Amino acid sequence: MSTLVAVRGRPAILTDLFRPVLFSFSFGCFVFAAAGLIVFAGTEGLFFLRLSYWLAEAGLVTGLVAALIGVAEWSFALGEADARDGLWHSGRDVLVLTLFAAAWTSLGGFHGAPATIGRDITLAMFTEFMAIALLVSFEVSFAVEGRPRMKGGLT
Amino acid sequence: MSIFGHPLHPMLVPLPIGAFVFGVIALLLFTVSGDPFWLQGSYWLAIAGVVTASAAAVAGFMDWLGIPGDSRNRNIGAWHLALNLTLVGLFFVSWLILGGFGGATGANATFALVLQVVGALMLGVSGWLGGEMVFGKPEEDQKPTEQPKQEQQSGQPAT
Repeated sequence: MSTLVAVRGRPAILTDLFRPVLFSFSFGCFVFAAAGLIVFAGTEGLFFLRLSYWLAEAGLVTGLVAALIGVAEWSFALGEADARDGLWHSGRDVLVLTLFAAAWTSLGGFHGAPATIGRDITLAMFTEFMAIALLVSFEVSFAVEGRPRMKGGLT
Repeated sequence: MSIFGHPLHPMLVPLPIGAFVFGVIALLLFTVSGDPFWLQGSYWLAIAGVVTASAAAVAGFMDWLGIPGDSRNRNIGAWHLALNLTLVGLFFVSWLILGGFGGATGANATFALVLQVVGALMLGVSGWLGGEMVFGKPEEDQKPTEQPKQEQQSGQPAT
């Protein structure tokens, strides 16, 4: 969900502000959602389970908006060499959002934040940590280092 | 500062951004609804943001020290640093107002909210400056080149 180097020079309001901010907010929410689950697992405090649910939801909503902006930016780069990198990038983002959507659903989803502590959080923890591992290992460093690392690693 | 060749600062900054922004939203929800859950959420997110911002600041400061002294990014980085230290201070004070080490009490939540909103606005400006350093115009494009002067002196393009 990071800003593509490919879209440098595109509408600045999108590349310089909205998407990186949305991505950062989304990523931060996801990390603290996972942290909330860890604290819940250690303390069984319902508060942390509910906070984790809301953080996952906030991360999902902003992540989806960031993804939509990213698709719009990617469409500008169609036909350029960077568009292929963007495809990989969007594929990983879809995977990350899907994993967090699964975690959010297992925590309560559209039924609302969990009201009891008797919930099995194994699936939520597993999917959230998988997603964060994906984000940390690829997306964030790619935001700064750009194409060379992508080419060496994935294409 | 990097880990396995990956810069550490950009990996860390999303953490305080997420914590601070969602913390402001949570405090806003508390002032509107009175639900103590949101007060607790804002309280914990404020201190989580301060802690992770401090870690990001160390990494960012080490990166900033490596930027040449007369460059554009050095100046932008100085503003970025100053803004971030100020806003982290604001969030820390708001956390103290919300209860500090004694746990969330909700006393003076409105004042804490004002501080956090100001801090969040500063975060937006600071983030934009950070984006300018990373995604902005490359350094070499902004410095005046010596080439035209050489051409004038020799009468031929410099090679």
